[in-house]
Amino acid sequence: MWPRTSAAIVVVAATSALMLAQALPNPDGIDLSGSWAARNFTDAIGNMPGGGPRPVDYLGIPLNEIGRAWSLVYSQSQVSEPERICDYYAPSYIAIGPMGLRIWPESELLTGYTTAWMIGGWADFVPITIWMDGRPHPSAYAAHDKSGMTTGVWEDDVLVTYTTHMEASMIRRNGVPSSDRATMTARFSRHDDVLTITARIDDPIYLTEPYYLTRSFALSRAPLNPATHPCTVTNEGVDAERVPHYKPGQNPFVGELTELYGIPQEAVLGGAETALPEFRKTIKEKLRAAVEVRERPGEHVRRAWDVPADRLAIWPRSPHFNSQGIGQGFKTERLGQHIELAVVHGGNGFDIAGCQEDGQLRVPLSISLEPAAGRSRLRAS
Amino acid sequence: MDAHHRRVRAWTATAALAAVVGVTVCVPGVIARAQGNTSALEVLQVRPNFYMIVGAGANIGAQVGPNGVVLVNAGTAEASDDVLAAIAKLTSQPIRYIIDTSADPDVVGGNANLAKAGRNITSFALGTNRTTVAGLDLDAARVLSHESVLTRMRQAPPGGKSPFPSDAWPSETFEERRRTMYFNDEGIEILKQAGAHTDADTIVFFRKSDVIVAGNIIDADRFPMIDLARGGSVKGEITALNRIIELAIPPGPFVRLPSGPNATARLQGGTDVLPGHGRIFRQIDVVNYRDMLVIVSEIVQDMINRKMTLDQIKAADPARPFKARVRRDVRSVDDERFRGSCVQEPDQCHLIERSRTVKSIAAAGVLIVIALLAMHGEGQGQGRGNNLPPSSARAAAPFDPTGYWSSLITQNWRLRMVPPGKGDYIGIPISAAGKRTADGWDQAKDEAAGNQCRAYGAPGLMNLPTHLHITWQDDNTLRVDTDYGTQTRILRFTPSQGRGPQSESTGVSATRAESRKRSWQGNSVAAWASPARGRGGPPSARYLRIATTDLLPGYLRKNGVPYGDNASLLEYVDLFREPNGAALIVWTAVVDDPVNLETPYIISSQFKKQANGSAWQPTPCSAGW
Repeated sequence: MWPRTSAAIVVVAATSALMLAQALPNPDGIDLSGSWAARNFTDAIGNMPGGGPRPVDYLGIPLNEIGRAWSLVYSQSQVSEPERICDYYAPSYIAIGPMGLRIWPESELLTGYTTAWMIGGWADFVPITIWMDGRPHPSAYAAHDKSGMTTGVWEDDVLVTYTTHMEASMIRRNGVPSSDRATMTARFSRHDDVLTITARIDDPIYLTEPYYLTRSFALSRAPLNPATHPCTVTNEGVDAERVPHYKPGQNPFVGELTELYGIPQEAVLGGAETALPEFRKTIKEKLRAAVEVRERPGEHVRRAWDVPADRLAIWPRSPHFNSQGIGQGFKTERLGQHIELAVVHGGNGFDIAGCQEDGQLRVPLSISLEPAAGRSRLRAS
Repeated sequence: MDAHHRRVRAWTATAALAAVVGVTVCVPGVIARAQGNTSALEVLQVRPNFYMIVGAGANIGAQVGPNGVVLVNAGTAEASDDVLAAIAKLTSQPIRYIIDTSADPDVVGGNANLAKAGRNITSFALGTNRTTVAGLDLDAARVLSHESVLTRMRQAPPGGKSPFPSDAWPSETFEERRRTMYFNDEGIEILKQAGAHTDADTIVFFRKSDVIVAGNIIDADRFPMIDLARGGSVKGEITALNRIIELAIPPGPFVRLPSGPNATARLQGGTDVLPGHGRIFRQIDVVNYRDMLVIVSEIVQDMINRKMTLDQIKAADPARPFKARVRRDVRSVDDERFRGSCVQEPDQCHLIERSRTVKSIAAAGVLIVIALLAMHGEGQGQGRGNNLPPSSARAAAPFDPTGYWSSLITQNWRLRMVPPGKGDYIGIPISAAGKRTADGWDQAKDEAAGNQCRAYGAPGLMNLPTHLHITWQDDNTLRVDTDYGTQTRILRFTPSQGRGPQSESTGVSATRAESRKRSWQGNSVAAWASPARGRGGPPSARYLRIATTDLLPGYLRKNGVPYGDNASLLEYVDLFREPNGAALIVWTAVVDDPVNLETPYIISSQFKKQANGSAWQPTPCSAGW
């Protein structure tokens, strides 16, 4: 009698619990899964595929003196060091990179509980696992993986992630560094079919205060390929054991933004104050001069490419190209004795060719990606 | 230049580098460091059979297997009891070998105690019996090193005695460049590196485990310790780092990872490099370390070539870019949450946690049902403590947006802080028709026509460098003022929208405001909204959703990039609070204009909460600056 009664009570209780659970809010937050196409308008300059910002453009970054000094020492040819050719960006690349995101949950089979959210990889970015099971972050002495260590929690309907154990990388794609002590707190906020990621990067080594970035994505019906591209090391013109860099005071790009746009040096070299509206007023007269400098359309683009065609190099690495120049299926179109722009659609992003001159890699900057409009001088044959 | 002069020149460069970056570490300095707190060791599992012991002086590598334990480095003498206790938790097998990677006190200090606690592979002693001859324990574990380590350890200063007692000296040495052994089913290479951080460095490579113990050639926490007095050199240090880079293999290439059922597996692969101090390195970390040293040394050499004096070089501080990078407290990251065995085996930790969770759930099953019932009851009563919806938008607000806010221009700075030049459309999905309009933009005409505010309309306003002052005009109307251009946006909540959250499928997008007079800021209808949930249930409002219509044609950017009178504007406003109390508003706008844009223009702006309005400086609209 009693066993039957007990069993009945258990069945009723369990059924009630299940029914109630159906009526309760989803403990796993909201559904973020899907292919999210990048809408690189918020950081058009920083996220332009293959282009990115000019070599010395630290505008709006809360750099400290050490971070600024390291940024000025950095040469973009470092990416062509043999050991770096197949290196990948740190997870903070979801905030600074140009790529779309493929997101999906990993769930326990029986309960459906989401143990992790996954963000697929890209050409130079490995997949990220966002652990949702409450596991701790590893010891400070543990190795830093390409994917870092990311945990997540739901705050209301916002997925808040915390990433540690990132490799030293960069927070702007012109070499502004992030150290291996940097951490990232990211908020994934979905509104309708728009996903906005707000990232806060803390770096006690290079930044004076947190660096905030946002990126927006639109839900795409066309699935993004979440695969990380395979990579092979080729000779990109930097000899083994050579470390391209600029000596202090010798970075040739320091005055570039001033020359092209009239932006004064105290802004170009960054600092927390440069991100505030009132900074505009502190350098009012100099910035007014900048308005007068306004570049002639296309002029600055050509400057970056004003190098001999035989110095062509490829960046980033791509299976479509090899180190000897243009890969199969593409040909160059010369502009006098020089080669100009090279932008080619491919995969889930763009493949970009660059030029190399005197060991310094030049990449296209400030270029509207409109191959259909005939901007590209590199075309499929 | 003859050989002598080249040597002098090289030494001068090294000395100058040492002077400016402080790479020289005298022995007392090492001892002082070695005498730190040794009571709390950390043991990290690097591989199934390989561990790193931290906190006993130099990092200790421990290969554990059926044949016994091979230690690389012995740590300090003071910490050796703790090291033995840590090893006893890993295995019952005895220590067979101790391999010293240098003669530093934090490397060899524990030799004697650890060796005595171990038992060498030729020992036939039974139980606790030991064979001693002239005080020498013949059963002790072998202490293996390059001959140069022994030389340094027994080298007495003039008139003094050797810095280490004889029972701490290596019991087995080699002079060749490479010594190998096969132990615990693994090949081990001990590689001599001449003149790196000292003249007695070796690298130990465990080939099957794919682990390199680099010793004090690498100090992950600071510049390398290059001890000129003991034969160290910058060139040798760089050579040693290059050798480690050559031996190490980075992870990858990652071919279509991850997908399928193992998608959450940790990305495996790559050589682990155990430095003398600090965290585990990967190959790219060694590359970074090498590059740092190469760059600093080349900068110093360049200064020497330019005839700068040592004082001038020190004043120029050529190592400045790297100084902060290597001064750190390695225990600062989540140290309190560290659980030793979980470091490299997160899945095991997960299983442990799950096991605990299952037990807890089983024990508290009835309580769960009760809790669900209670939660359900609470859910029914949502609406701030009663069954009635909030009486106004202000009462229903999920966050308080009021106060002063400052835009943070961390992205697109050049396009936002300085009016871009004519024809600069970067980052805008502008159509051919939009381009034609933008190319015809004439700032003077706008000024003459009194249209200076065309770039200050709602679609572009939030992206401008401005402060916001947000107030409740009444219980159902939010007012947003900007000091840049002195614009005012009125965000009206309709009574039904103000009282509760709107799901996105039934929100304001379906609500069209009555046709009113067009203006730069248009007519904005606001609602507190919530994303649609997968399982339904009563959503709680999380963000502000604003639909704006009746806009006058204006500019998305101050250089005349247009939006027309058919443009629509949908905005989402999130407010995030930081643990330190700081608040951030993220204002995401979706501008749709079928004439001037090829796709919707989605752009976000960030605003940081200000303590007061001290930075508020109203400035009128300007067609140019």
